[in-house]
Amino acid sequence: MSGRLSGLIENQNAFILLFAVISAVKVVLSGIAPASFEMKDIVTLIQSGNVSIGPWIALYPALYNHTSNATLVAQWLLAAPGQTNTNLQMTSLSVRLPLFILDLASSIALYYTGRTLGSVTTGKLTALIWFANPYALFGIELLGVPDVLAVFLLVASIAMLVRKRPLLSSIFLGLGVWVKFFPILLVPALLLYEHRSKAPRKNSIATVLLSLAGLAAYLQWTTPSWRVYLTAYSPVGQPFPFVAGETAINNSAFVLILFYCLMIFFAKNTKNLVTLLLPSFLVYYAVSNPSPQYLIWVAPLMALDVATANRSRAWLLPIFYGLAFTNWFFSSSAFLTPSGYSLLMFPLGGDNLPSFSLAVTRLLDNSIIVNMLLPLVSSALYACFLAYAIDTALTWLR
Amino acid sequence: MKFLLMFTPPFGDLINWASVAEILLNAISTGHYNQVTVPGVYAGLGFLLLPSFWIWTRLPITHPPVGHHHMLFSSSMPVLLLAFLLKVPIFLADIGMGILISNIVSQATGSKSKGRTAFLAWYLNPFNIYWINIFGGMDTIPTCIFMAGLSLGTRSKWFRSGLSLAFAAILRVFPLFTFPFILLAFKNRLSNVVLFVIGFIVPLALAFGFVLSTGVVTFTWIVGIPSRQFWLMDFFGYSLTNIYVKLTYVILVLQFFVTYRYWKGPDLIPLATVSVLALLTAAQAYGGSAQHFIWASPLLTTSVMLNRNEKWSCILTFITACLAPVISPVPLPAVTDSLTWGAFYAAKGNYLIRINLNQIRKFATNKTKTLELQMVTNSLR
Repeated sequence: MSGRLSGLIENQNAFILLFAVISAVKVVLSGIAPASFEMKDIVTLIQSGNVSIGPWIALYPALYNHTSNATLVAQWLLAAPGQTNTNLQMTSLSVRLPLFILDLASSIALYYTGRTLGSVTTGKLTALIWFANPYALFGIELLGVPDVLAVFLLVASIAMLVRKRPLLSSIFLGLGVWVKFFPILLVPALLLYEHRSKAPRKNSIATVLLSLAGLAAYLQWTTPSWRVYLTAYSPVGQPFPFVAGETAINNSAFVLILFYCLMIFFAKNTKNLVTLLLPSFLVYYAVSNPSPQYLIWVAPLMALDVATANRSRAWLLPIFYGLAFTNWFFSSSAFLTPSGYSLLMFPLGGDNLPSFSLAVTRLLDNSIIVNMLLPLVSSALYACFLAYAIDTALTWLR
Repeated sequence: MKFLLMFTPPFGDLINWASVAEILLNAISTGHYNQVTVPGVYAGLGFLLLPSFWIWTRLPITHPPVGHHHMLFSSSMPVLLLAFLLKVPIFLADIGMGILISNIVSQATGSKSKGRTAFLAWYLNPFNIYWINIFGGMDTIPTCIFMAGLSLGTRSKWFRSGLSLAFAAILRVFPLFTFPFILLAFKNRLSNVVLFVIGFIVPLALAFGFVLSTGVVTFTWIVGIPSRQFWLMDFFGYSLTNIYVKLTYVILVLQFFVTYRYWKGPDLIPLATVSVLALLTAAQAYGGSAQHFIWASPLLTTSVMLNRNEKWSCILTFITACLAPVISPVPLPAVTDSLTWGAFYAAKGNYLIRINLNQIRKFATNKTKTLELQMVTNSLR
């Protein structure tokens, strides 16, 4: 199996063909999949006009331009998948196409990062693991949220760092923070990496200053309600419990700070960038309550980890995303959309439901699922965050 | 002495067990088997108590009505006789457990004297004496069957081992949590896995069929238990970041990961021990603390006899168990509750870490030995 896979990766034509096929699938699904509730929220946000809108809005020119044609957008939001109206399909495609392009751009950036850290084959494997991940397809193209913009900026930052372009790396990092805040969680790990690799101090200063600039810019676009944006509600919907803490000692802040301290103590000999960055996100997931699409943040790092650092961890990756997918399925009522269809394109509401849809709706209402299975899946996913973080962090000691 | 302790006045669940046995005896004598739905999941253990209860009904004494109102802490002779008779099966299970532990230890160490010491370590443990002979903890019976399954497993009798574990799981749910861990003991021998899994599944399937044959109502009743008896949710432990993330599941999955990833060629006893101990370390104070610690007690006894460096962890765990509220036979001031609970849970957590470290060190030692061997071999070439 691995022989076949490596053969496929090493063969340039086969690799390009594979990428083309995956791209075609993503583009077709972008055209026919129903709009998600998150996309509806974005439209509502644009139409409301008086709410702070982040720089990520640049990803949705189609929605911006369509505000004059509100009827078409409203129709698209409620359209069933596979409808024959070309206008609606083109609307769907034009909304999702920039996301797909960033998805592709991220895989290219990952290819160069993998190639720099390993070989051409490593680069291809890294790009493939990212691009062929069905969870990323769901979280990026189908859900239509802007996380992929920040993910791309983060991957570009890492690519620049490993290619010895520290200033560009810091700029991309700062831009990432400006768009979506979360890359700032990696700053301690990046500083540690720069220190361990004996980089000039000005690099670290650039990382700190540009991250802070990104943070200031982020707070600026979320003003006046940045605290609420960070906690209860935001267009990027991120609950950051360590900001929202109501008690004197906030558990999430405590654990994250403790983790960073442990990293400084124990990762003394580590020069592997990925094994420093990856646990930072995983620990954050473990101490927060991440929305399903946030798990895309870590996908490029996992791809790099499996391809460049430790193949023996590869089996954890499908388990991680399998659990995440199952958890998402149950917690989102089988990916329900405003059209009454699932993102998996079967109906979930209305009369004359097919037997499969009825079976799914019964499954979602089943008390055993709600009381026993969903806690098991959610808890196993949570355990997976910790297990992956522990396994990665143990490489610091080698 | 143990025999005399069985004559103590009944309290706690013992009276409930008498009620279960009474319902089942009525069901059999009247032929109305749908009454089995009343005790539900407790029916399995209730059937095992039937002979004791039947003997009591045949005694030439005045039989008071069964129930807490008439029997709680009663010192009347009929009630003491009932308590004694109901404790006879667990008295036998207690001796059986000692023999099983002794056999497992003798087999693993090749020393009969260590086996005898293990028997005494089990049989004279004050925690066990209190919960088995005084309280009348019926969980001793499924735990004994569970240990019989492990004993059979250590002798590679996997089909019978699976059968025993399944019968224990029918009586009490905890062996189900150990099942995935035990699968790690097979060291890639597929035929053994198949035998074990078949042995495990057949009785469970038959039990499931029996439950369905008594009517879907019984099944619905069993499924609905967590919603009626909220304390059962205590076994899931605290909710962490949201209501679906439960500490018990998290700890069990993490323990499974650590076992799979970092233990080398694990044996049956440590596998079963960490699974039960992880369950009881994560479950909340009510659900996982009282008589249910008897699930872990024989495993800890066996484990400490096989690994003497667990001695202090084991002693600490049992001392804190004896002092913990609800478990402690001597009531302590309420202000000490949080301290004694905390100590008990910390001791369980410490023991769990101890076993993990032992197993991981074993892996590290094996690895080092292999490397050293390679170096020696290379130097000889």
